[in-house]
Amino acid sequence: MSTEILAIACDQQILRSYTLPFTGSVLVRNGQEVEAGQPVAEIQMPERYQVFDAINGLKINPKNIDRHIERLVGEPVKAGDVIAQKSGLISRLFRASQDGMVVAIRDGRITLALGEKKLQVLATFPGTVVEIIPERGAVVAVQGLLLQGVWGNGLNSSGELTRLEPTESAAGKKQTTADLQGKIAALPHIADEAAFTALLAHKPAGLVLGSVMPELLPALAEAPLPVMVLVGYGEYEIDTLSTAMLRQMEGQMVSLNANEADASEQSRPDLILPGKAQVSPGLFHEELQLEPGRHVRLLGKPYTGSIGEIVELPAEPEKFASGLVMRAVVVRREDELIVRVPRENVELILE
Amino acid sequence: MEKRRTLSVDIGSQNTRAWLFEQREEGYALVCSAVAETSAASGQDLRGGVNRALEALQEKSGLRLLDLQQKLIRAEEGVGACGLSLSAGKPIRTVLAGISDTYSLAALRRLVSLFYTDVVLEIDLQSDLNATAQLEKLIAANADLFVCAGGTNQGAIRPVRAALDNLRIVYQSLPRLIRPQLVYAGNEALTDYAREELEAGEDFHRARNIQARTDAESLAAAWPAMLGAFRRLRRQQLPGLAELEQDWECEALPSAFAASRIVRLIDRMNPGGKGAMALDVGCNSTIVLAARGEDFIGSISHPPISEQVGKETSRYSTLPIDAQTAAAYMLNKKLHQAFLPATLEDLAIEQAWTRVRLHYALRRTRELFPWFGYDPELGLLDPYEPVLLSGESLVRVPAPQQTLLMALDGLQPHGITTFAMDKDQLLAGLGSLAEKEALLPVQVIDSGVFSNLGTAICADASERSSRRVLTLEIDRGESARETLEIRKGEIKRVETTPPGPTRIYLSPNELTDVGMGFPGLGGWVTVPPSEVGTVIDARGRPLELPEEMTRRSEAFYNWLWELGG
Repeated sequence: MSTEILAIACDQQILRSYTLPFTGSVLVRNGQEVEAGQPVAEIQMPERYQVFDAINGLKINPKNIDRHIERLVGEPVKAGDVIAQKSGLISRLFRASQDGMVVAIRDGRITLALGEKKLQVLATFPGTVVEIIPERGAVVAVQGLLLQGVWGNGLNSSGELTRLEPTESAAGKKQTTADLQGKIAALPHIADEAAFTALLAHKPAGLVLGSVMPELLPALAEAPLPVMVLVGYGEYEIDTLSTAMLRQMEGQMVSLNANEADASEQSRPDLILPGKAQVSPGLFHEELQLEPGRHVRLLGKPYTGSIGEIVELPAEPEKFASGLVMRAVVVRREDELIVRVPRENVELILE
Repeated sequence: MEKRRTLSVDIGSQNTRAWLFEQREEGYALVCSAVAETSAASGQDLRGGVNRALEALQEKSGLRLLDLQQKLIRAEEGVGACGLSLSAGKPIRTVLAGISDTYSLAALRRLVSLFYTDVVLEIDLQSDLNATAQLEKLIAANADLFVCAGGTNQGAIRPVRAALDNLRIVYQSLPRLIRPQLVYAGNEALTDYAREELEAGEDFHRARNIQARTDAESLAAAWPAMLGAFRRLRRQQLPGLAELEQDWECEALPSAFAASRIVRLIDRMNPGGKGAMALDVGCNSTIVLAARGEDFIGSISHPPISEQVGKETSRYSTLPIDAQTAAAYMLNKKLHQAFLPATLEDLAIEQAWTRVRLHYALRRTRELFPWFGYDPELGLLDPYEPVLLSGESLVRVPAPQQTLLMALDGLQPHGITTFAMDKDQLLAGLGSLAEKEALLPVQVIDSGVFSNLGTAICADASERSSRRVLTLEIDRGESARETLEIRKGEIKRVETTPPGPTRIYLSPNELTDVGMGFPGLGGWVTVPPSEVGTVIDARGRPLELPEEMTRRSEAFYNWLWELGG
């Protein structure tokens, strides 16, 4: 059974790998401080390719094609250079339109790699480089507050965190009077697209939402700013630990990394408030498992989003209301209610 | 004398399953199975999860399988042959290049459908796409796998040569960390040219032409090349895989491909039969495998979660649940894939969604294999027997009656068929051993490792609701025979308990087709003992469901009650 780990942690070692999909150049060194948005690694790539069919383009007899091609494979070219030509009364020329290189010549087809573009991978929060991954990137670490969510739309940004009360974000009401421009706004729930659009009109730098209705998903996915969901789909309150964390972060510069959650990579979107403390290497690999005393967040109705403490892990599987026999975890919720849920239906909280 | 032991391990995205088999006097038998969490996330070594599964297997079997260095004990006192199958890992980003949409591209889609691919780009070499645009698209695809085909063995070569030229540039120019793999399965006159042109060394995989003639298609001709490409990619992507293969002296197979071997085997074990089918519904994907003689169909589908899927799920729910609630459940389950239904409402949504996933998977299979006998309205038109059910969503169910009803609603079969259940989720595990220990799968299947869920007799009748469509005479070997009348719209169960088989005489009315050749034709059917029994499904095709939500859920509830679930 796999237990999901959810970080809602006050003084957490946060490590993130920033790597290129290709081999490239690493731009940072071990121990270096980096800022959010700073390039960690880059690779220069051709801006575009051009394939020219010299036989048909210049009307050349295929048997004589070698006579008409002026460049060799691997040779650099400048904009305007003649690559192939057919001389005569009316000469025909094929020139490079940009600086670049000849990458292939086959059957009279000339392929040029033209221009140059940089593919960079950027740090998403300020921190210290703790490991260099040769030719690919680096691992950046920071000690700070970490609040993970369950869904993100793949974007990231930084800004001052501001919390909106439920009444300020109620469906369809443009009651939000707070200045959200350039800020990361956190609010419990968005019920419909009208409320979401109204919120976007205030130009926040990012959104942290407790829960959303399923029909809003396409709009969130397409949103031009980072959006993270903390609890899930439906109408749920933000759990008390996450609420407390948001309170601590309020008014401070935070980094919202609304990465797409990937269960196979065990990666989640998160909100980070970088601290000033030194990175403490001893905390790198903490093994977490379900055990009495640990806090968990419950999944599934009617408990979705509520927090509790594990009081027992019965050894024998139990039959649940659904009729399925599963291994249970007994949890004392914050309201002192004792509940038994399947072990699969909890997120173990890293505090 | 030590008993000969064989091990099989399947590494899934969430779970790693291990099975230990032993050769006994009566043949190979399953000793026990174990499961552990897969350790493939974030570059973890997948041997961690495998070793945990083996430790659990040791504990259950009481046999020592691992030495002090956590290495598998081989040779006489340990495990002989090993099998390894794999569905962990991200979908393989795949580009297909073919000479036409209707021929080579369609065949390539079918070819790659069993190899956990995500087709991110298709290039029709006869389209108007110019060479520059083609190259730009190939580069932007950032693919792990390129599969190229086209042309019969005496067919056109120019467009294929041009595409190979572009593939070479993509392969040679991009400094990818994971080296892309290239499979060529086209005109065999160009195979050597392709190998030399691409200069990809072991990343090039040559196959025989999957369409050597215009009237023939052989996907099997390219399976070895696809397997080679799959393994080389996964070895780069999944730390520990190459070492595991080396230590165990085996090569990993894609789990769905491994399972397909068993479906083909079951079909061969029953020559002249209707063909065998397996359905595996898991949290990530649904696999459809069907074999009949030389004909094989296989697909992996990933049903989307949309408003429409929410509506369909709501429609098949045994409790009145609206589309929005169903959609929220599905989206939350996607976020937390290990989540299990603890309440009746969650179970109702889960099982309704399983039906919808089956519909989607069968539709998708039909799109890939147009000759697959499935109609979205009328259900599964081709007869298959047995239909083997596997995967968490079909196996991890409170009662076998629920599994059978999900399968009946999901497939909507016609005629008579038998449903079996793969409770140990053994299909892939047996499939990966089939090459090394050919007798093992046969003997393990014969040992009854798949449980007989029940026999379904589907009575199609163009009759009005509540009219009698079929009469059954049930002979249990006792002096008195029971008689049962079936009316249109009903589903009924006849218990078929041990010791012996039960004989049932089917007497359909003249408009009722029970799959014996034509409407009105009946006869004796002998059914073996099974978990649920024989189910007579006279609900009709397409399944007519009440429009009103509460009445609809009542209908499902009643049908389940009739089955005893």
